Amino acid sequence: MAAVIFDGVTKRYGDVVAVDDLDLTIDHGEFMVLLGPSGCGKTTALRMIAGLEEISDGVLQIGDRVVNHVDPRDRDVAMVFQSYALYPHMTVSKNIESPLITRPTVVEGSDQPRKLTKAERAERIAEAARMLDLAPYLDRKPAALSGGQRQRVALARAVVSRPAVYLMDEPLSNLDAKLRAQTRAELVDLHQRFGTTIVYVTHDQIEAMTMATRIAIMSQGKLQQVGTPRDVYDAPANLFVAQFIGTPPMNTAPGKVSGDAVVVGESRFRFAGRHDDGRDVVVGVRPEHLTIGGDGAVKGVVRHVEWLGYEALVTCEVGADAANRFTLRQDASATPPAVGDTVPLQVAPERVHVFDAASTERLGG
Amino acid sequence: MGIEAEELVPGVVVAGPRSEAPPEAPNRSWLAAVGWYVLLIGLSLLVLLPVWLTLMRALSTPAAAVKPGASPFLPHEVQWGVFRRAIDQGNLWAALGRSMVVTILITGGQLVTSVLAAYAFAYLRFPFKRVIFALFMATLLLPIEVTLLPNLHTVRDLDWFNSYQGMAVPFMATALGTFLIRQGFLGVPSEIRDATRLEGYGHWSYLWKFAVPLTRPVIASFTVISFLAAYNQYLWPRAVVTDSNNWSTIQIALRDLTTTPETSNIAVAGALVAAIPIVVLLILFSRQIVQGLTAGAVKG
Ligand SMILES: Nc1ncnc2c1ncn2[C@@H]1O[C@H](COP(=O)(O)OP(=O)(O)OP(=O)(O)O)[C@@H](O)[C@H]1O
Ligand SMILES: [Mg+2]
Repeated sequence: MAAVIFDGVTKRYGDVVAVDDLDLTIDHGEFMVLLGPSGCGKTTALRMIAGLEEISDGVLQIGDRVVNHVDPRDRDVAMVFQSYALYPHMTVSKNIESPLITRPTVVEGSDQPRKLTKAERAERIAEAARMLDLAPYLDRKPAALSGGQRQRVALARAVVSRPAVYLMDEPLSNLDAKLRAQTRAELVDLHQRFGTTIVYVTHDQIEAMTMATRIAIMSQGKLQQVGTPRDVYDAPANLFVAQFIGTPPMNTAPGKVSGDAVVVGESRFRFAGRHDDGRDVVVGVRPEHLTIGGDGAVKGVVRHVEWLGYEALVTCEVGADAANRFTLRQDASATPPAVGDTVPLQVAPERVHVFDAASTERLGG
Repeated sequence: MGIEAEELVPGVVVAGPRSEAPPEAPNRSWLAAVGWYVLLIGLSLLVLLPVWLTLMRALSTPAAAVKPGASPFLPHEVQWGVFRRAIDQGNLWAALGRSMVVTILITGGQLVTSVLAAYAFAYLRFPFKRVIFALFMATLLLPIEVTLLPNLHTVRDLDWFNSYQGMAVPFMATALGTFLIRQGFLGVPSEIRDATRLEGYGHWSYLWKFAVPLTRPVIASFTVISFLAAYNQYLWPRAVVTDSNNWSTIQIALRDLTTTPETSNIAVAGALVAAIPIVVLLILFSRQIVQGLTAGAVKG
């Protein structure tokens, strides 16, 4: 059963289209990450699931229910906000209890949600606190907690009502790098243990790649691609996705199809599969798939070498056009070429991505 | 926070201004602390001086206090009974009681109406909201003299002269309170409001469980402002109290304390009695007042 379905959902603020005709099915138990650059409409999409934004057009379903006009409290969702939105005047314990006070809650062994008794609430608080290591802090106010602890309180407040769907808006962005990595692992663990549906918004591709079961990539309000982290990395649906995912980003250059290769200047990038001769395309190669050596079908002039300790990034100009800069990752132990050298480059044909120059869509085999 | 150390050139660390404390620093900071205390004590004395002078004036026999060479800082021919006499003669306890009733009615009424109106202006959507808010705020510009006569007519028509409602009801709504508390509500992060909506709190429970507690410093300082203004009212009670024996508030009773040059200290003593509730209020609310005055000035 699908947990959330967007069917042609659009959100407009006056003339601004924040989310444009979104079709997306989020399956039950999925960890779906909405990924995209700032302002692409991720938060808006998430807030529409929560019911905090009205839907301008289209149909939104949670479970098998159309929720376009359902009050947020009746949607059986919980949200972790970017600011955490903890209640500063309440203790941690009261914060965690808060979602259980006014709403009927789903309880095991009964299909009718009901209000919990005080004892049941206490039990739920204790359970959430145990799960997130918050037991020692239950009587503190949020101001007396560290950033990581606050983040865990926000999570505890979400899990306590055991909602059908968890919504998270960049919940890790206020943590330092170490804590972020640790919390990432905890979230994945949480997801696996309880098999809950999570919709997670971020602009950080590392978070997306490491946690998601599927990623939905958005740009300017439009959905670009949905797929597993592998899918979107190995077979990006268009140029935007190709360049958005991966660090350093995929190398691209405009060229023309000729036989079994894309010609860029004097270089020929052989591809697997078939494309129409003479077609204007953009060729794409990830830095880790490009190596120095081979038969010299592709040649580059070294412009820049960055030695990072664990690897070196070598930037070459391909095809005599200064705009066509290709970066390749070289093992740190190899001797990097000197700047100004002309070097042969090679890439396996099945690693060459070809995009239509006009539509920027991926051209399959 | 000082600048600690900067890497201007890679690998070369340049010491910043705070890098090393001068050796005599402990002494200096001790001196600085003493200096601050001297300054603060001086300022406190300056503020307390008028109160002290008033007290001396009340306790001294008037004729002795105005003799050439008599220090205003010391009591002369002390009359300990002056407070008793002021209270008896002006019936001050009764007047103080009435003042408290009126003040609490006004302050309580202002709090309730301001909180509710502020909520509407901060959180609800309704037609012409901005215009209505602007009109509401415009009433701040009207001095009491402008509304005195029309209000007086209304109160007379209602037959509310010499009554608590006559003294309190016309002041139970205020643009100032609405404005201040609305600002407080607007300062509550919108994600907190969103979280409570998801958790199922409606307008009423959000207002009392979240919005009001989160704006407590603002509400407390407004309470003090409102209390002071209501307690110190003079013109309006003067106008609606015709039976001053039974309906005087403290400010009216003070004025009615008949004094001659020989008993002028009775009026001064009465003024000190009238100040008691204010002092109590300031002591009770001092923390909130300071918080309210600095709210928004300090982050966090
Ligand atoms: N209340 C609003 N009124 C008008 N425009 C809005 C409003 N909220 C969002 N927008 C616009 O809608 C677009 C999408 O906003 P949204 O907050 O969903 O972006 P986002 O993908 O979450 O970005 P970020 O990563 O910066 O949080 C933006 O262009 C934004 O300016
Ligand atoms: Mg956002």
